[in-house]
Amino acid sequence: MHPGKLAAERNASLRRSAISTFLLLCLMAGLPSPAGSQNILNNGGFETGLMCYNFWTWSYVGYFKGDYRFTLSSDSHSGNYSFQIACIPGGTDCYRAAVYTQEIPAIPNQHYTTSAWVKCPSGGTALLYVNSSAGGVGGQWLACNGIWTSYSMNFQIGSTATTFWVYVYNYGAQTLLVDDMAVTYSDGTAPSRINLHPGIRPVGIAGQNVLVDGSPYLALGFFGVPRSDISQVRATGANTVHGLGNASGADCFNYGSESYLDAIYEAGMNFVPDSSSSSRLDAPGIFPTIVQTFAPHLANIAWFLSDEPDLVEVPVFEYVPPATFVAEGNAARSATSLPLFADMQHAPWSVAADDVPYAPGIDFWMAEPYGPDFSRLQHATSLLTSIAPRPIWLAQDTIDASLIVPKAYWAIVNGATGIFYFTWSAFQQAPDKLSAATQAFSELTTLKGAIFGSQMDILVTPPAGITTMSRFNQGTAYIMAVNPNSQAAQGKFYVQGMAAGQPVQVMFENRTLTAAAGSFTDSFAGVGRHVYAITSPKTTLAASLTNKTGSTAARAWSILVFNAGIAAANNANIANLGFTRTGGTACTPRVAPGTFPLAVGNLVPGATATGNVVADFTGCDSTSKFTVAIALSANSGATSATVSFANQRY
Amino acid sequence: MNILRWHRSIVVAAVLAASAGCLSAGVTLTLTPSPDLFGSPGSIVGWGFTIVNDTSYYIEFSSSQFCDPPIILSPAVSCTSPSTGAFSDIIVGNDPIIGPDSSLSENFDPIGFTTGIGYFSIGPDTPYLSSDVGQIVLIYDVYGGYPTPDTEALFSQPLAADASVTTVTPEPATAGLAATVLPGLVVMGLLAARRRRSHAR
Repeated sequence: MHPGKLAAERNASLRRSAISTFLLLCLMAGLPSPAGSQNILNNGGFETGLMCYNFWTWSYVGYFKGDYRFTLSSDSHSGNYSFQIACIPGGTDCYRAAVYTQEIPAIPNQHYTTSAWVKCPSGGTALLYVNSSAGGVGGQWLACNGIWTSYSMNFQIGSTATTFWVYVYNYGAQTLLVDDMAVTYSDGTAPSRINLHPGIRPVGIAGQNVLVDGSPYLALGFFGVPRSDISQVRATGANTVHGLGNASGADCFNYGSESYLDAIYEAGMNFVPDSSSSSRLDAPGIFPTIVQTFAPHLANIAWFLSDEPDLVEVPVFEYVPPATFVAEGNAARSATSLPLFADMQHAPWSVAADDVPYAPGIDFWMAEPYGPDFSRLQHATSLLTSIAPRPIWLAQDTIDASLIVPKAYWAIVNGATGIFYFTWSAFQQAPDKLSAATQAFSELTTLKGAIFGSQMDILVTPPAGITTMSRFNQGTAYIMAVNPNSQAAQGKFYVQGMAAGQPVQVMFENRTLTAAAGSFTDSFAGVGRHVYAITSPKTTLAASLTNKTGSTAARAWSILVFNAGIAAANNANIANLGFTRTGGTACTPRVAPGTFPLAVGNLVPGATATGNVVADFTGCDSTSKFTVAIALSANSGATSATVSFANQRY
Repeated sequence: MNILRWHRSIVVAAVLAASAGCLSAGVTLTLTPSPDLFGSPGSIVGWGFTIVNDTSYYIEFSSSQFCDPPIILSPAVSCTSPSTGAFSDIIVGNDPIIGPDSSLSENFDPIGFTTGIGYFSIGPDTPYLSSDVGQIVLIYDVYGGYPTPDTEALFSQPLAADASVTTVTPEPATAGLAATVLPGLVVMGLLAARRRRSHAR
């Protein structure tokens, strides 16, 4: 995904019409920049790289082309850095490039002033330009003179505009430096920065789950949510907003009231700040400052280090060399406890070797298996897990509305614990798709406890072509089943320990099936999902002998107890160990009185525990053979079993 | 465990760990003459077998059963009992010990039930064409030497092969024979099996 491209396309026509009008009207000005305390922009001086900015180029040959390079320069007007747009030595494809702010929330009819310090060689050309959601606002040519010069421009936002962007364009092969960009009201004042909920959320990683506030987190949300739409996004059931995109995230702008992140937090959602554009500047040293500036807010639960760093096919715009990426990740880690993640563009279609070098730079994965082909999603989760088993969040796009819900389940059953739809505006403009996403969020939120429940996949065998995830939560077994193929499918779901006549509730469909012994049958009309909930009154216990150690007089037999049914086995115990001699020298094994019942604990479906029974085999010799009968019990005797093994020697 | 046994166990365990994949693939079970059997209601059918132990260890069987799906082999065997009849063991009762790089084959003895892996007694009221389609599942212990307490069972493993029993209508010409002879054979067989197990004890 590349939001910069989308934004550039969206605004291209506006720019083209507006630039020609305003170029002639605008006058060069040398007003001092209000960069400092009076600034709507929170990164006017580029000290945190391109946080809150994006860049773009106009090539002679096409999108994602050109010989421009974007970096930070130590030649700054103030602070440590300025932003540099340069053409590589000998580069011939340097037509036009720009750095531009993310969407700045606008007050309709408000008069603003924007300014920037710019340094470019005498005779060169640059442009300060403002665009808005209601159309182009104004622009001003910047006459390059080889020294740091301040330029400013006054403009008024239209009555229907909700957001605006400020651009600085560079033309041709010259090197342009920009520093201390500012946006204020026309009187030079700016709203203060208010952060109502500063702090660091307790977030960690446990296996393949992200833990937020100590609990496994199921991330459901959208990319690119403007402040004005936060309540609408929350109404879909989303709980997380992804900061990637041109949509005023990461506390980039001062409002004079609650910040964007405050609004997210107060809506009951969380946020992941994005540093993708900064990641491409090859400046790992700024990442501690970046995260120290933008991470400390209670809305933030993770840090999106970079979008598509592995997309080597698109240098400059996307690709980040692995060494740089890992250095950025290590630098960020030194200054924040939030887990880092990144979107690996190659994961849905390429080989593990492409993404292996990036693994040390992040704590969990993201991938974007877009489109209606479900196999790409499975490819991505399998590949990333093969590199390192970590949490996986997925980006999803606006596929056919009928596929959105099953593909969301497909993500979950393939191990993802986060789904973000790209983008909010794309879904907002397609009511059927937004409705499907809302349904997916609603169902998956209902199933959150099940999704993070105890694994019992070993107990369930789905029909051919169907993929399942089976979990046990609060006394109920859940089977989430997906048919990823357009062909209809029907068959038996084999469920260990399922009794004949057991009702199987099909969630969200108002259906109930009746099981046969060990199985139930259902069908799929095509691509689709079914969620089965089974509350079984009883379970099944099994056992195996796993070890024998110790002396003849005190021989410890290790017995693995296995809950092989779909209900809990509470207070499971080895109730007895009976020996029947079947050959060899006569002897009588003795187990110390009081040994039984030997408690092994509470076992959820699919769980195991081991108990050691010590027996005295004095008098037995190498010829003595026994059949041992292991009596098992649980649930206050409501569940019992006896498992026998013949030909056992002590 | 004394020091010598402890030391030997460590060595053997290390060898086994290095060859665990080979070991699990190194013991195979083939049901003969066919894994898929047919019989009339009330009849008894059974399987012969060939077990190949292509490992450097001794194996001894501790359990046999006929399993309907769903079947779990690990961490412990768990499955559904057959619905058309009952399985009875032969191989575990005979207690063969198969040495390294060797094999054992037995035909099913339909008269005395003395050889084979086991037999399946089809219920007398089983509907025609009903079937159990599952697996014969054995559990065997792996020993570093000929099994004694001193050689220790290193670990247990399941060994499974697909199997089925289908209830069919007796041929008209043999229906009368089956009705009179089969019950007698069953009784004789059960008595023989009982004698054999009694001797084993």
